Amino acid sequence: MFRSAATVDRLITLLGKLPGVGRKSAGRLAFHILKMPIEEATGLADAIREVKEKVGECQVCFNISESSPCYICSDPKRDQSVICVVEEALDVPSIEKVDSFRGLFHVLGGRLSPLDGIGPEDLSIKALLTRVNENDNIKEVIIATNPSVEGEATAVYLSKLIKPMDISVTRIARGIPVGADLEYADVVTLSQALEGRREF
Amino acid sequence: MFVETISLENFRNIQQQTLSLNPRINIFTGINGSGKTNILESIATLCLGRSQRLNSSDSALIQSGREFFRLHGILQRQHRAYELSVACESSSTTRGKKIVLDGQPTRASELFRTFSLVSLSPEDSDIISASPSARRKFLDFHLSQASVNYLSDLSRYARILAQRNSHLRQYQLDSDGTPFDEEFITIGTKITSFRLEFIRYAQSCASEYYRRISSGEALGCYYLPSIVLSSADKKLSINERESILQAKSEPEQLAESFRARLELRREAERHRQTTLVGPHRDDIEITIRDLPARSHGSQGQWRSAAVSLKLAVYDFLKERKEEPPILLLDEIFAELDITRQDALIASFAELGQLVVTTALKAPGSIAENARIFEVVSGQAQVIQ
Ligand SMILES: [Zn+2]
Repeated sequence: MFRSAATVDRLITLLGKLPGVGRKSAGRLAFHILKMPIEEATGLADAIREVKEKVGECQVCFNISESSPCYICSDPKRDQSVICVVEEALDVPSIEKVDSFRGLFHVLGGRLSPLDGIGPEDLSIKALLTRVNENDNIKEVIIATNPSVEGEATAVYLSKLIKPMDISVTRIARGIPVGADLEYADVVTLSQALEGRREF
Repeated sequence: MFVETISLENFRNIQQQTLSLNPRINIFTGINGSGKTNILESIATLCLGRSQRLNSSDSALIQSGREFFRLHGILQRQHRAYELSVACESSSTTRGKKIVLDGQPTRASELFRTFSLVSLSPEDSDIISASPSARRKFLDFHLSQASVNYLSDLSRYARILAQRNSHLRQYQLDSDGTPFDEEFITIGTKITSFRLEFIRYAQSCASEYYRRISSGEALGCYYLPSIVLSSADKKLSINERESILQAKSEPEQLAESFRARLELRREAERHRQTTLVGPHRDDIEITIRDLPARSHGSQGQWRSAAVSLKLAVYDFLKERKEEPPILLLDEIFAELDITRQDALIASFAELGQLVVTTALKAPGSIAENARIFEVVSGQAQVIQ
């Protein structure tokens, strides 16, 4: 069998740690990188370093951002009366694509899952409550967690906390097929899900 | 619907075998241990992606010393042919089973949606004599064939229940319940509703079959849904219990009752840190001549009662799917009085496909038009 150099081995091992990349495809990627022009390969390495150095979390909405507050939170043209709550930062671009939504976001950083040891204190729930409580502009909170068992439970949990604050709490409609993540839902489906949101 | 051909590879004691079946009646004869029952099991596994023996695991189906089993076959349904294969490898790296329907990888739920199958075997008396979980498995396996929504509700329910139990172990349960309760109630109520619908159907249908099998004895079949009946309610007379159920048969009433039962059991759930109310704690009570069959019946009565329930399921599936399921009869003639069953069984052969195993001679009324196979050490040969 072909024995590769120690540095190549290290690259294969590291690439293999990425989600969805097995040992075989890690090897293929590593050899692809080996054949790349030097500028392209170092460009990739720099991009990885920069993303880790520069990108952090917005301290208001917990979305990934190079600045805090992020460009969404600091944009005065956004509708300041609506907050859309999502599980992950990954979900924000999907909802941003829906033209009818121009409100603010709040990224929870996960969903309630006792089986995985994730409780309310592990999510940015306290910050959400403070945000809603201290900001008189907010009239509606749209809960756009995934339609999974855990996403539904998180939505119920949040609605019970926010409703007593005399704020309208809505849940996006079940237009999204059960088991599918927001991340993969198309724009039309998401737009319909937002249109058809119902009061908790 | 019927199985036209089936090829087996490394399945139980059968290394390699291809069979072409009669659309109506097929009889496999042979001594015990020859592999007749394994052929029936391969038909069920091909049609539904799993064994009809509900305690059997997928890997148990692989011939000992082999790495995999593979079944391949053609099924006919409403003038359309389906090409189907079901395979399972024992090695842990390639997880689980692979099901391919008409060239497309698919899940067992797709087979449950498309096909249906009922099997009768001497092991069925477990439905009457064993623990409540055996009766729930009986319900779930067959009702999942009747409604694919029921099947998806069951898997969602299992996930909610696991999360809810984990919540009860980690947090002090407060008066609001858990964040999982809303959906727990919605899905649990849907499962209970469908079980209730089936039991209502089986009450008249199964008792009619039992009356015919047992020359006039009365069989009773009663649902004990956990979301309605408390343990005190379960000690009431059958009439009293049935009238409680009658008053709460609408989905909204069931959901309301579920909510109230959870509230009543909140203290106990807090203490025991597990979910005490829900369809995972249901049972069915079977009575013979108004006495509980589990404690009062003989083994012969258990078998006849189990056959009656299975035939009721057959009729229920036939109505829901608008065509007769495939019917497997495993050594049923050795168990039941042939003269009495003969006509009954023959009446099913006129409806759909029937696959029978017997160590004895098959009764004349069904043997006449059947394709008959003789099975010797895992090899079947057509003899008629
Ligand atoms: Zn922000």
